[in-house]
Amino acid sequence: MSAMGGDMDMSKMMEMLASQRTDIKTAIKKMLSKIDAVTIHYIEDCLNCGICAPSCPFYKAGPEFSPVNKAEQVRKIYRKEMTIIGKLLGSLANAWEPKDDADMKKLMDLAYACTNCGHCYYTCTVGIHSGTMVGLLKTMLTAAGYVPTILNLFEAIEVNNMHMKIPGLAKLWTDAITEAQNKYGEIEFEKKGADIFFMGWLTDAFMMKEGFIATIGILNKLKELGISWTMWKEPLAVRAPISVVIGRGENAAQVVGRIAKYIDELKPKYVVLMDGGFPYPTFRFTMYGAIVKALGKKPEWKIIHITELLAELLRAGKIKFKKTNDPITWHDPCQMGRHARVFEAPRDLLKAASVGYRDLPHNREMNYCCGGGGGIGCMLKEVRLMMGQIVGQEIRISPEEEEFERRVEERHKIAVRRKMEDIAKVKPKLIATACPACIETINRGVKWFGEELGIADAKAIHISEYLIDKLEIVKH
Amino acid sequence: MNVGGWGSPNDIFNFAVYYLLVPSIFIFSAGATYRIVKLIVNAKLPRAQKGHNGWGEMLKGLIMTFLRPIIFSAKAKPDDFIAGILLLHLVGVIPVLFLLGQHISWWSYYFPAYKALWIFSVPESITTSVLTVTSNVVPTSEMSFAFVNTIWGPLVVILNGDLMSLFILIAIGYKCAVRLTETLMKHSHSPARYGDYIAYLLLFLIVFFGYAAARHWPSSDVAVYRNVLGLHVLFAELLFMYIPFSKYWHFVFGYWYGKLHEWYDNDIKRGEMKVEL
Repeated sequence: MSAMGGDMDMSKMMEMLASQRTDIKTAIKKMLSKIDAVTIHYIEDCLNCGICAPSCPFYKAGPEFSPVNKAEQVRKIYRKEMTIIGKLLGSLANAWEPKDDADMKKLMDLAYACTNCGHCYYTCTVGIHSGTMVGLLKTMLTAAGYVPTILNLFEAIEVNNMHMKIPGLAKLWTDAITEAQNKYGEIEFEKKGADIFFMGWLTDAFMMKEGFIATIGILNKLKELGISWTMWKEPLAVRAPISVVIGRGENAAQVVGRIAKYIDELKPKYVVLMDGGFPYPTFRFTMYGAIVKALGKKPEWKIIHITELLAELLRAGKIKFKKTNDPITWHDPCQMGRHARVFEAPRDLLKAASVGYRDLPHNREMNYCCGGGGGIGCMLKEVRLMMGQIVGQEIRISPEEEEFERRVEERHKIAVRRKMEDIAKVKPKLIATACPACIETINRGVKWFGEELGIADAKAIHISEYLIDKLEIVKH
Repeated sequence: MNVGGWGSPNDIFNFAVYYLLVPSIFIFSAGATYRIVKLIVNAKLPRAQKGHNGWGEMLKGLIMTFLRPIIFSAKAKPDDFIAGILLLHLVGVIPVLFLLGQHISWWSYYFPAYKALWIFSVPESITTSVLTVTSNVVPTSEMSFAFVNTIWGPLVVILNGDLMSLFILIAIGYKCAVRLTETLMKHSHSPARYGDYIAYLLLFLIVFFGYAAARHWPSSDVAVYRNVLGLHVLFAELLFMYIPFSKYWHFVFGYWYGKLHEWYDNDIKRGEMKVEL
């Protein structure tokens, strides 16, 4: 097997990944060790009413993919391991645990039919977050070595900070940075004491390249308001922390801690993300404790999204937008929307920039997930082949995993279609959003269903890409 | 255990009211304590960079936390909404348990302050608030169709023990039928849990015997009545003991904790940041 670049070798990487496996019993114990009071509530208080079912993007792929059915797998294991009645009565008390390869593979199909979009949390009658339960399931599966190869590989690349040693990946970053500087002026890298640290990921630079360049352009324009900003010369992660997508919390904490220490050295006031996907709520909420632990104190900087920054400046009258009549809508990324509740900032900006703005029929808390989160959008064959080209080496998987990949894609298509039908009801030409997985997925959906649904000319873009040309600084 | 020192378990009523009450309270309390202590022992307060939410938003969030699933189910699963939320809960178990005249007197016996709710008392039937409509009791109104004079006025057409008990029985029957069909056809959107059937069966039996006792069915003989009413109380006590170990826990704790946690998690902890530049 040829080298991926530099001293990176795929076979060594795969060997390293395989060495992290444990047996199923140990993996179960690892999962159960993560249970706290809130997850006990999620496990024990489910009414089994099934009201959550229609909210799930994968429910139409089969009733077995309803949130309650997916979360039930964790409940069964919990009953078997942690309750007296489960130990005594077994399946009569709906207690069960995976024993072999076949059981684990069945669970893989359920675990990777969840984007952790959080819709079922909001529709649950007793406030159960089934996405968190699926996250626990992934913890067990990953610990036992049941994890999609592409996610496992990129997690290992990120945890070991090897991404910039892979020429293909490094080139994507440097190309985007060069283009941004040519278009919008110099970037002051790693400047201490700037107001803003722009935490742009490697994925921003290649999955949302235009948006990435536009975000840099916006930040450079804001200098006219006396707002200073900086960013890293080389990203410290691919899209941190990928580990949360596969349920490896300890690795996620390691990566988040590494980044937090780096940022803390620069002492910015705000850390700005353009990515409204999982990194945003992860840094603000899920892994905030890991940041505090790594720094030994609460950070003095605040984590915000670019839309929160711009919306605040707009409300303060420091910026304005040239008004257009573009038929544009906002797709709430589930992580920035439901998981962080940043709903109004992007809408305020788009309404200020276009009188043609319209909300999707399902929006804010009730937004339809695009179906591409939770790593699912990366687990498609076309993405695997493309990533192989980027890293300079084919990412091979077993025939069995190929079959799994095919099933994932089949279900993904069903989930995407629901989103596209919702978009088709308001017929926008532009769908602004802030998550690379959403952009890729919606554009893929337009390709798959656009003609049929009458939205073949619709396009998903990052919100910065839309705003950059319309942004004006108000000089007082 | 003989509470009150009189009577012997010579009929089901005596057994249920004077012998099983204290053990049932003990088992419920022990189970409830266990569940709450387990939560406290495992509690963590994860750190977060909290959002900047106003009081108005938080209050709206609190209301919507409770309303959202109801609205969602009405739109997305109307049959479940009608059977599960409307018939079983909103015009079923909740008003029957807390507002039915006979139950208000029961609650008031143990908790005198409960008398304050008499004004909201729900009668047993549309036409009378006495215990039966099938025995030879003349309705309180000369017009047999007249509504009982309560605060509920014409709403008594729905808010009466007769109808609400039927709602509960129909809802349980529907939910069991759907669940069984889906399980047998291996096309279920929710897992088949045996405990659910135990829970439904207990509730069905409580309501059925309550309904029968109210009508002095199958006969107006006092001994039969005491046994039928005794079965109503007995099954209620069994359910009471079962609460901490079953899905009925939502009624006393799970639902309230879950919704308040969700509210804290979404509407207090999360939210947009205030940027000061």
